[in-house]
Amino acid sequence: MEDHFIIEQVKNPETANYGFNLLVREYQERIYWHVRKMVIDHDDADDLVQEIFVRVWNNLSKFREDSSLYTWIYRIATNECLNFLKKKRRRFFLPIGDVEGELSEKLTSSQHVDGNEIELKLQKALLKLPDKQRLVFNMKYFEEMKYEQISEITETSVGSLKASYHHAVKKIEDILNED
Amino acid sequence: MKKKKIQIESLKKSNIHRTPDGYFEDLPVRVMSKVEEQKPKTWFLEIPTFVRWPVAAIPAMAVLIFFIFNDNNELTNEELLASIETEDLIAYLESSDLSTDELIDFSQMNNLEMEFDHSDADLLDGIDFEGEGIEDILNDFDIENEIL
Repeated sequence: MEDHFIIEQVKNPETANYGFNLLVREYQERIYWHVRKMVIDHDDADDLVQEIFVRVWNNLSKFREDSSLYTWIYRIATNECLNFLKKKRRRFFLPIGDVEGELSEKLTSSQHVDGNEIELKLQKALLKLPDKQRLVFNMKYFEEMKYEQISEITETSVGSLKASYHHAVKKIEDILNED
Repeated sequence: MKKKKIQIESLKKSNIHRTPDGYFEDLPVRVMSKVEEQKPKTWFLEIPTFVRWPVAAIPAMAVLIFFIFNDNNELTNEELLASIETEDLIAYLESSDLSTDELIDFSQMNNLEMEFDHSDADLLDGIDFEGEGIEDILNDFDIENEIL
């Protein structure tokens, strides 16, 4: 589905709901998985995805089409994820390690997680990274985005992203090879 | 025997997370109902903020204009201000270009004027402007000597 067609539909008051429905169907899976990998828990991801699309609806008038719809929605989703994790720490005065422990526990106990030993180990190692670094790693490694795309979404230079990804890979490999 | 080092790029990229059955079929409906539920203003009908404040200030402006151009106005400044809703006043001040400093200066200036009015009234008490009062005062006053 062409982004331009979706935007046209949403901006027309008579087809706004239809257009927005198309938009959600087009992006829901990518956004859900982007969020889910950050917050781990399905219910949290579900709440956040709904919030993200409500935000998209409320801010469509501000979308100037100087970036792609995909980049713009991803940017909103990324900010929501980071804010969610920040609030989680602030609300319970949790140090980084405790949030990591909570998310790690969810990986082990959730009925919506299914992986072999090494896959679980990789996911748990990822939780030891700072949120922004984990986000960059997920986009590069799992979502196989180009640095230029990640740069547009995170508004960070390609050089910084490369350095961040390189450090993340090294840290994760160290953790995986610890035993 | 030396254990082989794990390298991330050699691992199979798999998604270990699962969703409940039919999750993505239901999600658009739930998103739409949340949009309806939160009743955000439909963005294409939204009134921009720079229009909203002046519109809200109209009642305050109307009351001010009425009292300024009404000759029979016997209300004091305090009574006039008291007759205007606080929200309308705030909206008017928000929409005007007056800075906080200017507002403070203005309020101090008004206080000075009010103080001066009182002292003036005290000074003029007891003088008969209708009769010969002024003439008597002028006659008693030696202007030429005072100027020199």
